[in-house]
Amino acid sequence: MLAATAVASLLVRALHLDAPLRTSLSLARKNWSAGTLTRTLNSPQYKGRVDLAEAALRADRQIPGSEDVALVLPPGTDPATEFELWKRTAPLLVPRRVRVVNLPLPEGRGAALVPWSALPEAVRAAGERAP
Amino acid sequence: MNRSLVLGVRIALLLSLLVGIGTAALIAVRQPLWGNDYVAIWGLKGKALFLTGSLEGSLRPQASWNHPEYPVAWPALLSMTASLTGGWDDLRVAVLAPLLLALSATCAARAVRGSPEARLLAAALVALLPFYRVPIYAGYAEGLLATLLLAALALWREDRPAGAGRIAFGVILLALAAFTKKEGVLLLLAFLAASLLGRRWRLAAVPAAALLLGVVPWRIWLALHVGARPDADHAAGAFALAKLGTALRVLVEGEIGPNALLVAIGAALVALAPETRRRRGTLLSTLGLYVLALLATFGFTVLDVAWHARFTWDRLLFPVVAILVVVLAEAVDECVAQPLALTSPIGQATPVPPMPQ
Repeated sequence: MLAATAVASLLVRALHLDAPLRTSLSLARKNWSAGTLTRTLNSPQYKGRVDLAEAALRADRQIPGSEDVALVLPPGTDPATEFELWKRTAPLLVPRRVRVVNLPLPEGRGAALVPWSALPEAVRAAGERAP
Repeated sequence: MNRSLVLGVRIALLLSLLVGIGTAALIAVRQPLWGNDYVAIWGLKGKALFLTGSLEGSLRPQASWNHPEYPVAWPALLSMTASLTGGWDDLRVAVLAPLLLALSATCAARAVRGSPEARLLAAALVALLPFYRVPIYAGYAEGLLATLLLAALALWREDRPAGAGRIAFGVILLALAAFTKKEGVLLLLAFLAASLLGRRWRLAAVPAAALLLGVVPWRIWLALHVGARPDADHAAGAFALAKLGTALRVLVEGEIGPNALLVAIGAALVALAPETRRRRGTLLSTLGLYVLALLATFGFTVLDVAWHARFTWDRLLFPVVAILVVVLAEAVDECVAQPLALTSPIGQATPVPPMPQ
């Protein structure tokens, strides 16, 4: 009885998915038939931030694989936001190193990805910040 | 148990096993490895390893957020899978999760010394274990760690003679466990301590050899190439006794509380099975020492201890519970078999006491 309760308790959790089974199956089918790019752009990671994914993919095409990339964020960006934005860009720019740099950005721009070598010498000399 | 009951139990356990692996497969395809640590740590390392083809290359995208000091067995497996499947694709490497779960369940069944029902019970419990919390940790290294530990346990079943080849293979599996996660190292240290405390000197050589093989070369390589602190989350100077209390409170509130029924069932089963306790003494001591050592590490955390404990406890305990499942299945078997053992096997003459004259 004790063992049956343990199995049943875990079984209920396994069957009680965070989304209806029909939705899960539909999403699984869509994922399976979609290409890597479509899946990436539609993942929860980039929900509401497709612009960031597009910028990272553009940078991936333009910046040589051996060069580091600067993720430029406005001064005063909180560490949690820095991490979230780094987490969204770094996987698309692998194997490049993505470093967060705080610099003023043009009006209306929340973030920018630029080659590390394109940064002013003083900024590069100051070195990377957290990441 | 009568035949139809046994058949019913087997079918129910088999269905539970299939539900576990099927749900893991569905989740892997539905949301291919979008978990935080996969994106920021394991997947990033794996993809870098795949694209650069070198261990040094895997360190290139490193940042303080993705722990350069973490061992790379899981990223290496992700990278190898990408190579075998024709390129890096999160969806294709995600399929590793249900495959590893199926392998873990198989190893758990093989590790159990008992009836076919006990083996099926262990396999079903291991297959359902990732769902103790939803959403599950898809793409994290815990799955591989549990698989390696259960494989080692299956290899060293006590009722089989252990030849040199099997011992060597077991040492390699445990060394790989240490090379998968820091918890693997801690478990081996606990295994070493439990063996020494039980004066099982020859057995102690196994975790010692695995630690030498799985930890020392990686530490030397890290010191040469990264120069990183051995552990970014802990420091000797950060120790505070109050942190232990906080971690314990988080453990009780966050883990034991919501899973009180399962914890009580596990404890009751072990209490009811003295033979299993005796036979698995070293293993139970190892798991107990591991949990104590784990608690102690929170005293040295450099992070906010409540946050650190809350977001890691369930994953840190996962491999322990996976191993414990094997012991629990044996305990169930002992509890069920005990009353039957008092009766004579069919066909064997039972001495009948003479009637009083």
